[in-house]
Amino acid sequence: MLKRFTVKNYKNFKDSICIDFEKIAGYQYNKDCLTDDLLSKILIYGRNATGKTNLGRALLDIRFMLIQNFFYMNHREGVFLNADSTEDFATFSYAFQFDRKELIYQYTRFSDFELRDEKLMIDGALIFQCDFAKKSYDFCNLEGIYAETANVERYLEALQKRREEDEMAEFILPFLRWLINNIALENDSILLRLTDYVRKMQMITANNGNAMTFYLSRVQDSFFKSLEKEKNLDDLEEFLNQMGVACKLKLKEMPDGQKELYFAHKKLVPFFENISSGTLALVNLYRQIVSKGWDISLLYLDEFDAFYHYEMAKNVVQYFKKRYPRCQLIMTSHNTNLMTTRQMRPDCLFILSTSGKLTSLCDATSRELREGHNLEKMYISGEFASYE
Amino acid sequence: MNNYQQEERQRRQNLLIVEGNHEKDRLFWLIFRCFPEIDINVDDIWIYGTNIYLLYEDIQKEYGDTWAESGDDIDLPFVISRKQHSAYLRYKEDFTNIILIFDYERHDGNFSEENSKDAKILCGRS
Repeated sequence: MLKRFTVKNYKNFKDSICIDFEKIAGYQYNKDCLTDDLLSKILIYGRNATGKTNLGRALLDIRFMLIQNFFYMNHREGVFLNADSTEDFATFSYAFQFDRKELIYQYTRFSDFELRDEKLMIDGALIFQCDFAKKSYDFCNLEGIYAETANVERYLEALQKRREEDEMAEFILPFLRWLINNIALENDSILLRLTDYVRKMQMITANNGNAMTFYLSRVQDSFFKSLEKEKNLDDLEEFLNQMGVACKLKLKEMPDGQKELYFAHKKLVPFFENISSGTLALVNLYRQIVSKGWDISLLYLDEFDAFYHYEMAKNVVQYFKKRYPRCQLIMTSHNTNLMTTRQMRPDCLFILSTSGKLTSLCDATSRELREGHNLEKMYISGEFASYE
Repeated sequence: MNNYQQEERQRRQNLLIVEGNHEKDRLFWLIFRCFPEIDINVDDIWIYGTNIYLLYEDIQKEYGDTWAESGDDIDLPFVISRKQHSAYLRYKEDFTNIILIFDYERHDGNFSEENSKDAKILCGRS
């Protein structure tokens, strides 16, 4: 699991910002917000444009380093470096805990595309360090991850060759990625644990697209095909009903053989042409996460409840706590109704300030926050205002 | 199939917190018979089982000594339900009205002008 994440000089985070999952206070309630002595269900508040979405993008950056297709690296959003900083690189640092081992992976980048350096440490011992800007490489302790057979010369040659010949000269393949893909790792290798974790990281932003976009994209999506099985359609219907959308669904075959989804009333009502924004957001969440049935290591739900009734938002949080107890779930929201000890704890509720500082509610006041406190009212009345 | 079942939340209830069995079994039983239009379920009459000064102490335990001055939003259903049946906590937000019926009991050893004043503040907020 992820213990700590730090980023600096990335988008609106000029200074270092850290999510410390180890920082647990001694609350004896809502322990389902913790997993393996780490915070695992976090809710972040913050005024508009404080960087809640950017924090999610930063957190998921490691996917681009280790997993994602390089093609997507060229298609990422917005300015990469902080616009007020004089530093020309952004710093990312991830500290993981796998069994009893601590793995720290740090890297800096000049841009979305251009890696400056990277470093891997396990239990405080340096495994390797590559400074691509200075062309200085230290593969001092590859035996520490049972990778001493790795032919690092080939990696360096390939790096040099790419610099000389490739039109994507500025792109640098991270050594860690090369290592994972080019050596035979033991089944219990910590690097495989890392890859598995990173592969299962996901981010979902509020669905700003309209229903028609969703409708048109359905053709390529196996999800819509899967609804042709009655049990899958029933499952979607049950999910919507339990989250707070009372409806009945029906699939009907058209004369051309294509199947269309409808709300079942006395007359059938076409689903996508008539779906509400809230229901669409909920279906989107179902399609991307729930219907997949696989485990998720870390899920960043950005303004997930922007279109939800407050009870639906509570239901969704409750569902994720129950269904994904080991998932590190980070939600952002403006819905202060969720700022409650009924579902969360003050050490799992955070405020992201306009200056890019992340502070838990229990650290944002000198008062001792107790289970009976009305956190929402305290937040609105300004108890934590100096951290906003 | 997944289990999407959610804990059902009861809303739009009225809560009556009384001192003892007598108030529930006799007094309010009779009042409800006489005025059936009063919309309070008999299960939502909670017997606190002791007097207002001990309730005062329970509030102090949860919110600290300065609860009255600090303007804390006191959640009485939470304070009482945690003490009486901690496995099923109830919260202020589930009730539209909370009515407290207690004797003044000036003779009680826990009475003081200070806590009497705070108790009035509490009644004003509930």
